[in-house]
Amino acid sequence: MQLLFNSVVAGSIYALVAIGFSLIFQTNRFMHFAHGSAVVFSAYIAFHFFSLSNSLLIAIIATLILSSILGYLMHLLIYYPLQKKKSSSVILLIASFGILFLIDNGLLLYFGSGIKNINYFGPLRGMEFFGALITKPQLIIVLSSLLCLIFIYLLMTKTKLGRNLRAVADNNDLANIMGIESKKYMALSFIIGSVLASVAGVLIALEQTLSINMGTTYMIKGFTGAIIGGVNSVPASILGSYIVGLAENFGVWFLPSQFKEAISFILLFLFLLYKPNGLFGIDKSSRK
Amino acid sequence: MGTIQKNNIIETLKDSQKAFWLILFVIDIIFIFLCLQGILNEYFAHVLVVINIYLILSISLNLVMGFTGLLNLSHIALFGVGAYTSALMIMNGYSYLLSLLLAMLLPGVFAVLLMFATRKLKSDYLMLVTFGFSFLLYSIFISWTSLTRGPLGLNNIPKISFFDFTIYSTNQFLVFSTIMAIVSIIIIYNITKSSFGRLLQAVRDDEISLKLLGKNIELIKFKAMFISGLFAGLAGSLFAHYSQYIEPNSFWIVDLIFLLTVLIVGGLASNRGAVFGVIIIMILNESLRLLPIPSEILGPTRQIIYALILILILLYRPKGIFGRIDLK
Amino acid sequence: MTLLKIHNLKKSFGGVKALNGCNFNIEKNKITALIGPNGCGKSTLFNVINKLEYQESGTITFLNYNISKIRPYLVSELGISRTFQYPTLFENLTIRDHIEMAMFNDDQKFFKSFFIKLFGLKKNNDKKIIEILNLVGLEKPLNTLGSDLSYGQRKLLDLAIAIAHPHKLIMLDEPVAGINPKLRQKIKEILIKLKEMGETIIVIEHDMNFIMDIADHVYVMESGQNLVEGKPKEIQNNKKVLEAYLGE
Repeated sequence: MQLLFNSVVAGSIYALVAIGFSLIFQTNRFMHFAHGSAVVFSAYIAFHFFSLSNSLLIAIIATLILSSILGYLMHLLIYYPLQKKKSSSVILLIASFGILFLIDNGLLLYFGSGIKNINYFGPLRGMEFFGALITKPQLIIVLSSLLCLIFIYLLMTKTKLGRNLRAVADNNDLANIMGIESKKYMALSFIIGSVLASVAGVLIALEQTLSINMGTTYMIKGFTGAIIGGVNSVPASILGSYIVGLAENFGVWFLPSQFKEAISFILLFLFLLYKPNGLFGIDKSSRK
Repeated sequence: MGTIQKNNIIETLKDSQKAFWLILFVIDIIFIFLCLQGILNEYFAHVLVVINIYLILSISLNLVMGFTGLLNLSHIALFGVGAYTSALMIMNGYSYLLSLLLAMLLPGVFAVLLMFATRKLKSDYLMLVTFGFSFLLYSIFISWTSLTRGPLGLNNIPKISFFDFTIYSTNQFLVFSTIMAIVSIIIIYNITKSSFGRLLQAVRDDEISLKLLGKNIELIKFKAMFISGLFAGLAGSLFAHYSQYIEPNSFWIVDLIFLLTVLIVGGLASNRGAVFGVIIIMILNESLRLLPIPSEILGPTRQIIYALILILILLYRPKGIFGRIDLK
Repeated sequence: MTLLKIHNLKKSFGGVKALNGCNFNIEKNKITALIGPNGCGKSTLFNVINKLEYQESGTITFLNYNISKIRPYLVSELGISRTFQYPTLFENLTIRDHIEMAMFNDDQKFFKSFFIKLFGLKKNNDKKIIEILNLVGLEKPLNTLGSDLSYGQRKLLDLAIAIAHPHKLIMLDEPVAGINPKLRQKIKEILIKLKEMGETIIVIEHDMNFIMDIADHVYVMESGQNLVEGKPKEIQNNKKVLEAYLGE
């Protein structure tokens, strides 16, 4: 039960990362790997504003705003000029590695490599819940990511905005012909994606000590989740992320716990070999 | 490009290619001479050794990434496998030559296994999965503490010695690593110019047409990855015995982005590019030391500069300095 | 004598049945033409023979080997050459490289090719290469890069590659589609010359006049099945064929 709960906590964060990634992938047709650094960026900003103001609300608002600005700037300054030159998705991916590196080291310069911890809840006492120990921030993680996922689902399926986003994702050229300005929606997907990343960032900042490297770690997990589920579909990437969370936590039955990282990879390779489009994926990707 | 004789521009290019290697070789010899004579201090010798190690890495990565078109980000991890293998074997009392052999073979085998697992993938997918593989190995280096001592790293790795001969000083290592680098460059240069190298380029350009010419694409990819892995291992072994200390962070994202920047700046599918890229980025790297920056922020500043160079070159000259191919 | 025998081949993409039980016998030393309306499964048939796609059921026999389930490069090694409607060349390689790769298969041997390069033992194959280029009438320096060729030249080089590759059967996918009349006449002459040299050729083509002039035997396909077969003259006047074409 404890394992199950831990999996859900981990999976929730991976899912938040994965849907932002998969949303951006769908509308922009490239892999925005710097998404991971948007997560760390948010976590650090949340930490920063929390230690300045000591108010969680201010920290959250500041994080949401700054992180969406970051997302927009990445699109405006780097990705869009590259896309305008008809650069291939590989070039965009390499550029995103560059951005990841840029942001990570910028943070390192500004914040230093010391340990950062918000410590909002004080010393943590777990609550008993169906035989599992649950801490308050963990509960918040699960609930708020659930809220976000529902919000995104409603946004994508029920609103005009979501419909247009999906239209751009399905067929960029056609969407343009129909008068949907795809550039706007590409930028928008970056902003939405970054907001999701910032939620993940705040949640991580609440529960864990921060380190610069974790952006890459979370990105790899989120990416694995998205691939396992099928990167072309948002619900599929959510499910994939929970599978990663489960596999990691239940994997300790088979492997010593320090090899937790390896488990999601074994899963990833198995999927790539036998089901490269993911569980629910449709083959319209850049694999051709 | 060796076979092209026809028009004058290409003729000049071909000549400049010969001139490039010749000038490089002469400069190299002059520097080594100055170091050995003690005119340049040990620091220069150190920089040259590091350049030699990176040359082996970048030129072997270029073989798969530039020539074969496999966007492989696992090279740095294979470098790490080579370093750990070589260090651990020597520390457990095996001879250097045996350690070197295994330190080359193991990364080669890893590379082939990775290629087998990702044989259905292309371009950006392949790139991310091989990046994931690097991450996997990095986390193994960190987690398998009983073997690798985790984040503490391995220290007191013995110096290289074979046939009753031990390499003690930096200058001696400089000569040894230069020989290794030159041999590696000659081997890889000749591979890329051989008919097998032509096949590698054909794999990059169009796999389907090549299958219909009766070529076993997967086998060709395996061979390319294996060779590239061998050299990554060689570089790793040199690195381990030169610095006598290795830790997981030497084989992760900092060096990975460095390598990527080197190749993109130099230009993919060009041996000159792979060599020139290393030299130019290393010169930049070391000249930053001259700036009045405190050492604790030197690292991040340097890395920010790599990242900016990488992004700018993608924006303004995606083919790099010597590159001939577009990234697909 | 039958060189290639195709029996009850089936292949579908999603719900679309691209091949729905078609049967062919390709005779040696003949030009066999495959015609049919767009989307009748001709190109899929070629792809299945080359193993770029795998069939769901049915068998393909070539020279008494069952090639239903083998890998693409083995099909090619057994001696099937093919061209494409839109040929993709190796953009960064020269004409010489293209033909040499097609002619020889030992470039896959790493050590052999490495030592040949290292010791400069490479043989000069230019005479053979020029012979083949002359046969198809591609007059370009051997050092021209693939990316510098026009569409027509690409088609000629693709044909030259198919001829250079050791083969017993050549499959041509719309060799004269989108090509000017002059070049079309030239390709017709090339194919007739090849037949005189004893080659076996299957050709997909839409141009009926072209087919009438060169083919010995014609198969008409519709919806992934055989519609009719016979000599060109018989096909020309067949009601079913006219319906299939005009009804479209």
